[in-house]
Amino acid sequence: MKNLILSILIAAAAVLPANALSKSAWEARFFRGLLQRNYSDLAGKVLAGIEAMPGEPAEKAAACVEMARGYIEAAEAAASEPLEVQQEYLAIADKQLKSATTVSPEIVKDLVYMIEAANLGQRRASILASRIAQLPDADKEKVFRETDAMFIEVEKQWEKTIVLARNVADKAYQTPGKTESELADIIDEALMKVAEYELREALCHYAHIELYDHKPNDPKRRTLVEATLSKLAQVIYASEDSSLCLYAYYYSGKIYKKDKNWPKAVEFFKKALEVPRQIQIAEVINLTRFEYSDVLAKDEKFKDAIDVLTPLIPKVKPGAIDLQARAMLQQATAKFAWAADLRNKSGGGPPPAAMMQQYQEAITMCQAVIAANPKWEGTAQAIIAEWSSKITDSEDPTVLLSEGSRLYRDRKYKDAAKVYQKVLANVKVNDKYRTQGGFFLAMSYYHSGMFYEAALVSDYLATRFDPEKQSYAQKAIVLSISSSKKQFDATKSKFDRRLYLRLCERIGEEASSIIEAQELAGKGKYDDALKMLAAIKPTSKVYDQVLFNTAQIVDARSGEFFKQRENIRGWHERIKALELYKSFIDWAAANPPKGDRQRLRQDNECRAIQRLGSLLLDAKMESYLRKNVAAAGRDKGQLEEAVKLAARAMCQKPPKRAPANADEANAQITVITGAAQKAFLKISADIRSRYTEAPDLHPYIVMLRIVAAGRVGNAESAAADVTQLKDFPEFQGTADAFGRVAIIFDTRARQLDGELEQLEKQRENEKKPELDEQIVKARAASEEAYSKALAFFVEMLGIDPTLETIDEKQRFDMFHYVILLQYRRGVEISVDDKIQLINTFLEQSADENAADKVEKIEGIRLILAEYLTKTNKLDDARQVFEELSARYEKDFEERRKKDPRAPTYARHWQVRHGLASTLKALGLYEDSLRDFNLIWRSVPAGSDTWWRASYEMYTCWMEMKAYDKAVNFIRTIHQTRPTLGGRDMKNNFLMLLTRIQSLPDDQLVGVDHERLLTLIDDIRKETK
Amino acid sequence: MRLTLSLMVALLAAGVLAGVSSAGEITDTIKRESSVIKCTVTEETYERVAYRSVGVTGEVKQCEVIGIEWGDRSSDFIAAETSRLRGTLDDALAKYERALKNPLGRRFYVEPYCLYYIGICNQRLGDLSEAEQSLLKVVNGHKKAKFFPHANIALGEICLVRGQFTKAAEYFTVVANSVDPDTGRPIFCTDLTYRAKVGNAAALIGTKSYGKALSDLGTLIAELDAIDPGMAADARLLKAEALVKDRKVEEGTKAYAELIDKSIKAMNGGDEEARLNMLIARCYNGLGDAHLLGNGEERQSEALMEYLRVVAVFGPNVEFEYARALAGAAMCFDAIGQKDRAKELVGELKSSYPKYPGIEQLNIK
Repeated sequence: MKNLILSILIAAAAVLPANALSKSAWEARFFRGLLQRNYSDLAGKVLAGIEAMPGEPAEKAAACVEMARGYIEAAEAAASEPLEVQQEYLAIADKQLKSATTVSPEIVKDLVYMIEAANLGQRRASILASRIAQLPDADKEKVFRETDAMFIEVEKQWEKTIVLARNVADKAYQTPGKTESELADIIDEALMKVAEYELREALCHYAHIELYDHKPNDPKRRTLVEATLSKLAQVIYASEDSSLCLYAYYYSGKIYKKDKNWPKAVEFFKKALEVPRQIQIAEVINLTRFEYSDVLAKDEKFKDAIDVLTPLIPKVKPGAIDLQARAMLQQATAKFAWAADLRNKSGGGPPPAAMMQQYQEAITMCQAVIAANPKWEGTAQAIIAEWSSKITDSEDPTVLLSEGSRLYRDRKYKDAAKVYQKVLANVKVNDKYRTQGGFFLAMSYYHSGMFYEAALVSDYLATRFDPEKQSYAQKAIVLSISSSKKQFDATKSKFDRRLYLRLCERIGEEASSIIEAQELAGKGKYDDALKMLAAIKPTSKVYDQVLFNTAQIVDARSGEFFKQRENIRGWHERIKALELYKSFIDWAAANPPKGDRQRLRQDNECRAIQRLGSLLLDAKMESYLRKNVAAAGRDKGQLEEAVKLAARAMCQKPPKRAPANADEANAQITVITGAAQKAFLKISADIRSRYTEAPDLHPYIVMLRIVAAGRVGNAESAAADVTQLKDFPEFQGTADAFGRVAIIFDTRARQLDGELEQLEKQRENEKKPELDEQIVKARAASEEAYSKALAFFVEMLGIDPTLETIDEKQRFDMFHYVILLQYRRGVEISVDDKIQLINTFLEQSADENAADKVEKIEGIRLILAEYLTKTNKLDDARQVFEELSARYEKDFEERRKKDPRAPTYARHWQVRHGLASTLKALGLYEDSLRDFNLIWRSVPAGSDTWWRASYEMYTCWMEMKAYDKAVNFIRTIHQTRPTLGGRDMKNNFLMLLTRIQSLPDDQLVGVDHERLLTLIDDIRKETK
Repeated sequence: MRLTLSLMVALLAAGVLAGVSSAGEITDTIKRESSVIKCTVTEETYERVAYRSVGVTGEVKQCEVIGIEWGDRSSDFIAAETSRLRGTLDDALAKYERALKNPLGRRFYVEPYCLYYIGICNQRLGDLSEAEQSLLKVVNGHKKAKFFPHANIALGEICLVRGQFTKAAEYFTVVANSVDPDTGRPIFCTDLTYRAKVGNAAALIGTKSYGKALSDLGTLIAELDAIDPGMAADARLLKAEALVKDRKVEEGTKAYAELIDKSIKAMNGGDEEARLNMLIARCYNGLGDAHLLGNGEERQSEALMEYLRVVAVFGPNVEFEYARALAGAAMCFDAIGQKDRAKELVGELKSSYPKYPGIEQLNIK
């Protein structure tokens, strides 16, 4: 930070007026700029030019001083590099200053020279001071003395500079021929210079104090501190209306902070922030905020420490991203410190809620920084790790569970497992926390692929804790069976089979049958699944589960019918499912759950209600019912049937009076629908009254609001609602909800695209300039809607699939669609993020072998290859292209065996073209040429693909310097197809031909010059 | 100056601090080159400022007015002006928006002032669509306002940046060619007329009508040298650009070099410094572009050094020119195989100027 401030001061000096700049001084500025950018090689060229420039000695000396300044700045900028680098820069600066005195000895009396000489000395002393800590003890004292002497020397130099500046100020009084007001301006300016050098001397003292930080008890340190503070006070007094006083306040604050005098430090930092706006310097104000916040946090004024940084947060403008990140991380640190403080003050008791809040907010802030600016990830993670260990080193289960939950959400399952393990292992912790920790420990194992461990832990929970009292113990039963099944599937070992069967036995034959039925349904064997469930008698303990699962399976089967485009059957099946859900809810109301099934029942009932609600609110369902009415036409009997179907679909009684016509039938449907929604609300209210400890229904209600918002296209309301679901990590349906919100935005974006298209057509036809404005707005709105849709889709896909209600097919299709959408519309999404999403998709779809899915996966792999090429990961791209190419070749061969006239597909050539282009980018021109040639020979001549291949072949020859082949190739094509693929392509060919023509003769072996010139002339004439 | 409490109370009672006279009339101050008029402004158009003072009405030509201190301006309006003059544009923007909604201030000046400066701030911040929207409101809704010609010129400049040269010319022509049918003299103040003419020449260059552009610029330079050397320099710069684009690279390069030399000599740390910096930066960028059009083997390296002058000497102070130089230097570094440096510059460009035209295409592999 010190370096930054010094740089600001030096930079400020650099823009001081330079009267009548000489050419060499101007070039020296350029030289300095290049050095600042670390372009030493280019700076060297400029330096050579400056040295060769003619000029007066004074001008040349001034240029040398300017260059010395450049090297001193370069040393400043290289503060993080090895000291040798900095010293080298300073040595050159020294040389430049000496050259200045050689060229013009008088320059030593010049203020500009004196300042740079002092800067040089100060920088050298600071470097030496920074080395002391690393030196062996024996050398420390010696170097300390040397450095101390250097600082004293530099301070003397500054004193001389100040005396000289004062003399200039004194002389200003005697400037002849000036009016009083002009004279006052001149004197003010001269005095301001004096104040500036005094500030610089004070900063030198400050660096000197840092040297004495190695000897905190040395009386000289105290003397130095007092001298510096007094000097800074002098600057403040002399420069109240200039930015100098801002620096003086800032450094005074820093000195007090060094001495842990918090109240005084606060006083000065506060004053710095209160300087009038016109003299504020953003960099110094920002630095002050950081220092001030740090002091406030140390003084345990955490809220103030956070607030003082708040003005830096919303400044999301170019160049402010890092500043914002730093400010947020420092705020997060203050929040962590606050949490730790609250924990200490709780005296070993349970952690207060306020502590958890600060802790969570701090973590959220760190995560926000990482999301916005990944380069800060390391720092943010280090802060989280440091403070989490400080705060969570206790055995406190709430803290540990919270930390575990964060890691679990971030999919760091192995780290999460370590934390959850602590909770489960601690017998002093109550059962509620232990089962929760244990359940998520098992889940973490499950997601890490450690199924055996997951099965053991969940079995432990299911057998050692009371499932009637602990919901997680109950959930663990199913998890233990799923995990052992996965383990058995993976190993096929006898031991794992025994484990699986033993766990199934424990829950009883009927419960096992339910799990098996669920698996059958998952594989699409709906009839078998339903048969298995039907065999379980109503007297069974698990009958409630049978009813619920039956409804779910029929529901899933309806979906399957829709996918197969058997819509009528689909609708009837869906109506049946709806009735089954309703029956289950009615049955559940009449048959209260027994002991250990209470929680499971609640869970199932809530899910049934949620599904019932979404079906009742489903716009497609209503539209289907009304279509039935329309299809019935005037036939009264059919109209009555349509209304009866609507009543069934809405779980209502049909009206007593048969409809007289279609209008009446529609009116009756409206009444039925309204009654259904009211009935649904009653059911939701009823479940709350039936279960005194009912799980929170809020997420289900939120879900319904989203469904309702979707019907009217109110994306904003749905977006606001869906975020609430994040507070319910156990709610199965969050992914579904995010998907729905994404679809609402996506639908809106498509509508906007339609409007945009209309507007563009209108503008083209009517040439109305005012339409431009509307088009710009529509385009922006469409982009915004797509980008929101994408954000929600990606969020949806990030939710753990094993915890969700969305089936695999839906998920696959959604994933596929999102990747395509990102490809077409995700202009603001980085290619690396897109690649990451594709890799996740490919990982999750690795076992897919259905033909339609394989086709889609390959399409996505083609996009992946394109992204890899874009990000210059050419070897990876080549591998993907080669695999795809081999697969299409094989497919083509197989098809051709069956039908010799079988065509190749466009994608086949797309892949081949991609492969050839990648080979070309890798410099493998011969291989690339071979592939382009294959395309050229295979696709219809004159097609776009053919022309592109022609051009690429031509460029390959150019790269291979086979100019004769390139020219002959174009000449042949030109003879048969003089259009050369259209104007643009023709210009490209012409440009390259002209390039060949301009090459030296020795490179043009085999090229017929005359023919080449004729060809160029012909093409030129045609292009004109 | 510190006011004692009693003096403040007295002044407030007299309505002086609030810019309201004891008779309840608003006291505005019209500032002219050599005098000020304390009065109540009743109308302000691009032609004149009408006022009433002690029951007498009068008017001043707009071209003679340096500025008006409005007696009833809101604190938001004052704060917006201060922020704008200090260069904190995002801050100014928010305050102009607030001033527009603030009921204080007469609408006849508040609306066009605020809308115009909202447009200008957005323009300088690079948000051209927002800028355009505000400026169009001035052009379409305040056809007599002081800022009507200014807004037309700004719209023309926006169109130039977007490459809509014909449309740009239409906006500039509104100002450049408007004459009083009775006197045959330009309606708008001379500086505005010339600014529009220079803009028109830029639009001609955009439409590749180099011959006409060069001939117009020749006339303009001759006229402007006598009355406005600053604008004459702008016209010279355009001339150099036109020459280069017309493939008269050598002449163009020479014109740039002369302009740079002249500008460096004119630098003396005064108020002109910022304008001269911008001019020199544009010249260096123009030289960079010119080198790239040449045939020499070293053209990339030569162009690079020109762009780097802007990057290294002026930095972000020259706003768009800095962005342009970053892009140019990045491309040259890329062409000469210094990929890391190219990537570094592209990174800076993307983070600092995300809306720079064509930024999406700038990908260094």
